[in-house]
Amino acid sequence: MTAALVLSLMLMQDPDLQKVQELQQKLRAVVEKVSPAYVFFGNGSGVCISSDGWALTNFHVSGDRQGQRVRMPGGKQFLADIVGFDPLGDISLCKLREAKDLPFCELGDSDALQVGQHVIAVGNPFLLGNGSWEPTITFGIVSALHRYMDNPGYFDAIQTDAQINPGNSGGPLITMDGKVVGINGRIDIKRFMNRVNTGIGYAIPSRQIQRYMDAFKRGGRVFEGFIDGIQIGECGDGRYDNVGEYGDGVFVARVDAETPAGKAGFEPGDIIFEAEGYRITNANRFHGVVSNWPEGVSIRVKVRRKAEEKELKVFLGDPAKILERKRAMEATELGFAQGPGLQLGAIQPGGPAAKAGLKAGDVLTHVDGRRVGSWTEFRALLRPNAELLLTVTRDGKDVELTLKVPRPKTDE
Amino acid sequence: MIGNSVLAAAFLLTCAGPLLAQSADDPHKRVYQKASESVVAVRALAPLGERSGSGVLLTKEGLLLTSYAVCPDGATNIRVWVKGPRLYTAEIVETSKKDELTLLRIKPRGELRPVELGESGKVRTGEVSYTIGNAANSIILDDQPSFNVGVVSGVYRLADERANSTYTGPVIETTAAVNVGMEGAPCLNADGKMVGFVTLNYSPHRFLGTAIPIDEIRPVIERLKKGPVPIAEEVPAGEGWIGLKVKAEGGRVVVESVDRNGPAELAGFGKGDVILEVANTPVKTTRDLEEKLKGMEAGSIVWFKADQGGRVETFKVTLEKKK
Amino acid sequence: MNLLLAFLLAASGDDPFAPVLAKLRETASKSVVAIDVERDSDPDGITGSGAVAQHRDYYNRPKGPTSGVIYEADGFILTSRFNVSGGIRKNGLKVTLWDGRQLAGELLGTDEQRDIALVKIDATALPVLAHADMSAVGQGSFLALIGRSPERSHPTINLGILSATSRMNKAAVQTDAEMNYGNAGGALITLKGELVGIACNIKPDTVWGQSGGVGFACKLAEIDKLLPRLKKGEKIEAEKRPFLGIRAGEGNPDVEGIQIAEVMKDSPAEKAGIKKEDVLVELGGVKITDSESLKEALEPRKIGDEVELKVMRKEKAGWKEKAFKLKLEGKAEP
Repeated sequence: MTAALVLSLMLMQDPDLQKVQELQQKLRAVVEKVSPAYVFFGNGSGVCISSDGWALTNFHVSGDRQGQRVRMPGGKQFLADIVGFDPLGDISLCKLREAKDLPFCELGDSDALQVGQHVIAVGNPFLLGNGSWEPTITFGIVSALHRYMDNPGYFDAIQTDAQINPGNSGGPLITMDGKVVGINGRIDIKRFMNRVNTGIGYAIPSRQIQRYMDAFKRGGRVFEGFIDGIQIGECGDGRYDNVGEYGDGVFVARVDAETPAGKAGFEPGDIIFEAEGYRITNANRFHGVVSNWPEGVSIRVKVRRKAEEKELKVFLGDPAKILERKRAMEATELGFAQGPGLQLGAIQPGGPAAKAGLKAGDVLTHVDGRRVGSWTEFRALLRPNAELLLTVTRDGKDVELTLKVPRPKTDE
Repeated sequence: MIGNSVLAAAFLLTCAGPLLAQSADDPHKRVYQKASESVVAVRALAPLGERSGSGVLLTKEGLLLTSYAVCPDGATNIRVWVKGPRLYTAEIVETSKKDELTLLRIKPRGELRPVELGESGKVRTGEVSYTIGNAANSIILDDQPSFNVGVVSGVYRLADERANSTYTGPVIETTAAVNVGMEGAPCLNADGKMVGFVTLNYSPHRFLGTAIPIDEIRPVIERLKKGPVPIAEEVPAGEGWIGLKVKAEGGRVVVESVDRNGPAELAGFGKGDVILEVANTPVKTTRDLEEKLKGMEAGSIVWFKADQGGRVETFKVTLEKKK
Repeated sequence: MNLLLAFLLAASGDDPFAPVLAKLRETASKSVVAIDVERDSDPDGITGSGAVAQHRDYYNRPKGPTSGVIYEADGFILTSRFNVSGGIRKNGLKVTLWDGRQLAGELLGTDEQRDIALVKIDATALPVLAHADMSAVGQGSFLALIGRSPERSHPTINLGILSATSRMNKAAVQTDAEMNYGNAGGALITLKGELVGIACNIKPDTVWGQSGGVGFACKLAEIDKLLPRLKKGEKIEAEKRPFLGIRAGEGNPDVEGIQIAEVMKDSPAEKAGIKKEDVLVELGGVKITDSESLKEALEPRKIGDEVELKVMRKEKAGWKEKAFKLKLEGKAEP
């Protein structure tokens, strides 16, 4: 019994140090688990989110280029191709070539975050990790949520005081359970200082990225959702009558009939106060919530009309533009496989590419005399039912061929 | 025996402690929950342009404290954002330029949560420290007080002035982020109580946040609550305004009062100070003082020597434009 | 027994770091000194107008004390070389100990590459910190940085983690504990109070600036290697390498290459005519895609070489390729 007493007194000796050491052990364990999934991407960062090499980064770090040289901790090199990207929302989804059994981090739930919660940032500030290929770890808390800013669009950003600096962009913001809740991309700097962290960093939340994931995987540029055909104002705006108090939401000033907003049933005077479970308090938050989804998706919006609450379902985006983009995508059914570095893969017999005389192994260089740098650029130049002059390199020589882009299939 | 089983329970609890323990960041979340409705954003139209910053609610009736830099004398169109969001217009109760504080009042709609004041005398270096405020206008734009954690890195006295501030005296230095928009924000301790007022953006040697301890501010708040004091008759000073009233007393020139937020008050003069010299010339009568100050224009710097509470101090007064 | 239980439950409160850091500060601070230096002129001479002039305090050295660490009990003190560089007046180096004793300091050896300096004071039996077992310290370990505040008797403590184990050519560790001109030269310690490194490399010409969340501490193994030479008073100069004088941005989505976020004043790049926002695409005939390829391109070059550079510059009509001739100068990079 005396032994038990002595032992328990000993263990009780410094419970504070014990608590701190427990946190330290936990932190070190999380770091050991997540940092192998980090990607040294150009002059910024990225993170691997699947064992077969899907990875995320910021668009301002990657652009839409194919075949960029990236590395993982320890120095192993890969080539990365950007598949889908959102320049406004500043996210790129890329695929690492010849990737198998890679260490990766799962996406977590940014909606479950609480202000004050511990978070870890993994990155390469000031490119200090180049050469040793050891990323930089910083530790802090969630400072605020749902922060809205534009140019580029951080619509629903997580704010953190874990230090983020130039070189951290595109890297993961991770919770203590080892999941990616955000992609770091922006900081506030003091005007007179060097571009260094001042305790304010912003990350794009994982929920938003997850909502865009299908569109990213389909490829090409992805566009933000918006409610087409509606003009809004902010509640509390003194220039209008009956528009509630600041903080109530946004009010509908005008609705155009033959638009998604008209079809959804919005009426002038409606006060929009919630969408998909997120409370909307002002114009920033309205744009922030709606931009959480890409165009082409429908979301549920709650409005207050007279004394009643109504739920409306609205299709996001401009239907005409969406259709145009869809046609451009379909027109890529040109009967050849897109290989790395603008090299053509297998040619489908009887397809438009075969008819044009293209061969597997040809490397595309120009379209109508314009140099193209990526398949995305090529797709942007496609027009249904058009004839394009393609220049390819074959056996070291330039060959010019005419490609006839097919008519679009008839739609609904 | 009972003793044994209780001991065994204690032993088991010790081992089980870590398992029962909460997450290490729960205290941070708790402090945020406690304080997030007590910190506000303040925006005002000052003579030199629009200013934004932070403030902190002092009473349920709507009294709140902000930084003089955010809301100086003469500011109009003062708006206050409280978490909700709720937008209020506010009026100035009183200002104190030398203490860098302004007291405002709003008419509450709904329940207000004032901040709990702590004791800065109990603050120890190494203890956890939080700042919460309108950094980068996070409250105004997104109804989100920015919440940062760090430690109290030092508690010491500042002996010199630095950019934009004449404050010298005790400060609490914190590593919790302090940024543009945080002027007027509170610095909180582990219990979520306010122990400092963030009005100073950085310390010249360390580039970290410094906060004025709450114990220094309490008496000022009490004074400001009483409202404005009528302006006394001034010592004429040419074209410039000095904001000083003196009287002859026992063959000496004694300060009777200083004008609120005036140059003399800013320089540190107070009632009862005995003026010994002005511009290196001894002063025996109020006439001596008048003669010396005659013709001095706004912008002039005048050096005084005065006996303040038994100590001879030097005072630097910068004359301002007559209001 | 009930009291025992009550004590147990009340023992660790909401801020377990507070007592741990308080204890660390007490024990470790005895080995941290304040260093005051008197110079005839401002060696950095950072002048400027507007915002820079207004915030000279940020760019220039503080007028107050900086920090140092007692490394050996018979009066050998290590500090950051920057703290003691620039013409110090005769007898102008003063060291203040934890107990208030102020002694004259003699500057011995310095190492420019690692930014450390050795100072000797006439004292013995001084308290020194145990060296940390670096195999037990890794990314995520909590580290405290102890320095001296403007009130020399009052040590400051900043808390952070180990951000990276190997920086500055393996000579330093990286931490996110705030580092600034005041605590540069101070002691970076573990939760157990063991010394991990000496805070260094906080200077006006570094991109990471002060308190940006990026700080470095020179490893003790490095210091031990150099100690005999430093004791002899050797001023070890850094190896100069050819440099361009640009700071890379995070990349331009339109053009592949190194986006130039900043062109350093008086640098070879500035002299050649390179401008901010240019994207470097070729150097000496070698295609530049990222900082790695730039490093490879510079590898065979020597100081004084003239090289041809190609950049893409955004003009009204679009991106245009421009060629420049640049003469490589030498600089000691950290």
